[in-house]
Amino acid sequence: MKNESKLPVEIIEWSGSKSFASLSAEEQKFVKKFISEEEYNEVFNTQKEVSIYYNEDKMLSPSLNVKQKLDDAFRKKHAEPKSVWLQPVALWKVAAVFLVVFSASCLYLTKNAGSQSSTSLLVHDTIFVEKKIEAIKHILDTVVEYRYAGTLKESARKRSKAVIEAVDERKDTAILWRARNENIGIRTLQPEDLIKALPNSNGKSMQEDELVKRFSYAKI
Amino acid sequence: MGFFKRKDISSYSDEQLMQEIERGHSAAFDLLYERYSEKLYRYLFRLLNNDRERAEDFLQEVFLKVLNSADSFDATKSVSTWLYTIATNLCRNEWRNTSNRQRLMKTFEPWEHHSSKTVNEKIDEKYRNKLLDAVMNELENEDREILQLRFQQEFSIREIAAIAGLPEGTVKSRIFYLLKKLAKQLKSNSIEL
Repeated sequence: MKNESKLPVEIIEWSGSKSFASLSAEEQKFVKKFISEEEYNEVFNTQKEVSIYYNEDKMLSPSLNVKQKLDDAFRKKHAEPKSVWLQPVALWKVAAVFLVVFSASCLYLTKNAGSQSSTSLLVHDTIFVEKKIEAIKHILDTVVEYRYAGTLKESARKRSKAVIEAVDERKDTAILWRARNENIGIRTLQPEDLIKALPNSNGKSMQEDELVKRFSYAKI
Repeated sequence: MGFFKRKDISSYSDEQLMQEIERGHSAAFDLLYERYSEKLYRYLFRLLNNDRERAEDFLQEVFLKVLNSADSFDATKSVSTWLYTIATNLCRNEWRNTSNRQRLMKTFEPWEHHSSKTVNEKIDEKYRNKLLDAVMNELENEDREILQLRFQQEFSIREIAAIAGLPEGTVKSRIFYLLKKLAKQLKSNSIEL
């Protein structure tokens, strides 16, 4: 052998199918660069022999026991149910499911045929909005007592002034009105009370007074 | 109608079958077994010095490995290369066990098959097979492994390199060297027989 280590794969391929004589002139020339004609033919004949030798093995096959044991092992490993997509499905089952779905769809469409134009759905709902509002509440927790004991004119004048001032400051003030020759009691101060309290009241100018008007809303 | 029946996997590639096996599809396993069991059995049978029982045990081992390692199989690789690598490794482990090797050598029996050939053909065939059996038996296990992969299983040089874990150049030159060696031994043994 001239150059065995660099033997091209083509020579191995050719030596498996063609004798040296059946190679083309170029191929023969190429082969001779690496091995002699005799060496090539030896290899060619041996390959044929070996191929025939192994070809006889095609009669061989393993016993059924091997497959049976493997089937058992397979069943053991995959004991859990198979994926639904791998299960065979009978046509009648598919047809039955289709019919049920189709019938239900038809029934639904028939029942809702009249209201087919209405595509929107009205939804009534209650929304509770919590809103903070300013409550108007009058708490009357102060009682102002007026007592006319001294010189009426002078004291009444002063007291009246005080009443007016008090009412002006505190809108939620009730009046305990006590005057000479009058019953003691608590009542809503009326504009006339103030007029009465005012000395030398010659008219009803106080009735138009804003303070008096506001005062009159007070309740006990 | 066929659409609703079981998946038609007959046209599936080996790699697709492996994916189905992983999902627990028994028909995929049956098909892969059908494709490879006989070829693998022949390969094992010869590598194990024509020991039928041992070859069946090993074949079972190979497919159990398929069953248990389907999830870890790399789908980008060839299933056939993977199967033969498993089988080869099983045999190599067996060969490493010296006592087993000796036992195999003692129990080696040339395999005789039944065929419909004429008496003369049978005698010729028997003679040739005996001769080759004897010559093959003298080869190293690793050499027989390569010869079988090439001439029994008809793998390409590249596939043999992948299975045997050798460079392609080594496989190529070893095949040629083995054939030359066989030719020489056949010549000398034919005179003895």
